[in-house]
Amino acid sequence: MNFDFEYFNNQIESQKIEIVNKHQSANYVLMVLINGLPIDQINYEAFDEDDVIDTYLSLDEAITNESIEGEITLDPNHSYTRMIALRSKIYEMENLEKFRPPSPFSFL
Amino acid sequence: METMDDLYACKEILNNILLLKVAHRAGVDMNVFHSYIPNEFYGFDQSWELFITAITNLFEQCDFIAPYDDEAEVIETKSYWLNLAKQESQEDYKGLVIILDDGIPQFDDSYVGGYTISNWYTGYAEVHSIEKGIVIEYDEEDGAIDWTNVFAFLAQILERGTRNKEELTNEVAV
Repeated sequence: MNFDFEYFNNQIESQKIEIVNKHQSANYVLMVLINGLPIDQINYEAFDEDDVIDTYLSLDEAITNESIEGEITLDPNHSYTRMIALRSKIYEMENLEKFRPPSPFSFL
Repeated sequence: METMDDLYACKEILNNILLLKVAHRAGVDMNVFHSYIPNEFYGFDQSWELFITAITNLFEQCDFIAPYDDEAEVIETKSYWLNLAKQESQEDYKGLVIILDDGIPQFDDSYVGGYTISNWYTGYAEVHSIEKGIVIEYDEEDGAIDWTNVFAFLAQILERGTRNKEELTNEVAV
């Protein structure tokens, strides 16, 4: 069986762009919220009022469980949780120990 | 976000972002705002702070009278504005916000509750039309007011006034 990698790749790329674009402005609002962006650094053209309202309402959907003490469990697939995970990953990468492989050349 | 309190804090921040977005659309200079994240330095009731900053910069003149201010002079001033807004009685537990601007058209008096996007606000504001101005009588006895909601309403009124003015200018030009 021949597998058309070219076709497969094109399909994935086109769908990926479609999904990202669809939620781009709502994701921007989440990014502002999570990172606490300063007022003068917020791009107000990147989202509209409905995006903020949608994000507001969707936060309730992120909670899968609430304990009597008020502690909550978040849905790992919710966009808020994913954005938090992404931020943690970026933070981890920024703080990775710098590693330089030894050079085979004595002058380097 | 680990507790329900964190969730409420996130929602309050989002409500403040919404107010900033409305202010930006209305043409307020965004450099006048300090912070939208509740903190002890700028006050935990960020919504009121942002609201006052926004209206001060959007309209020509603004002033407010806090609830329970029972000085004779304040009561007299309060009565003056409420009479102008055709309101007969005044309650000492209600606060007042007075806005004056040539661009404000006449509009039907309205009631703005606290239900833009949240469901825990229980305060309310009555928005009265006066000539080239607005008088807001607000009651926070049973809970805070969603000032984002109130500001969005005011921005809408001003936008209508500006549009009417432009249409009139265009008609004169034609």
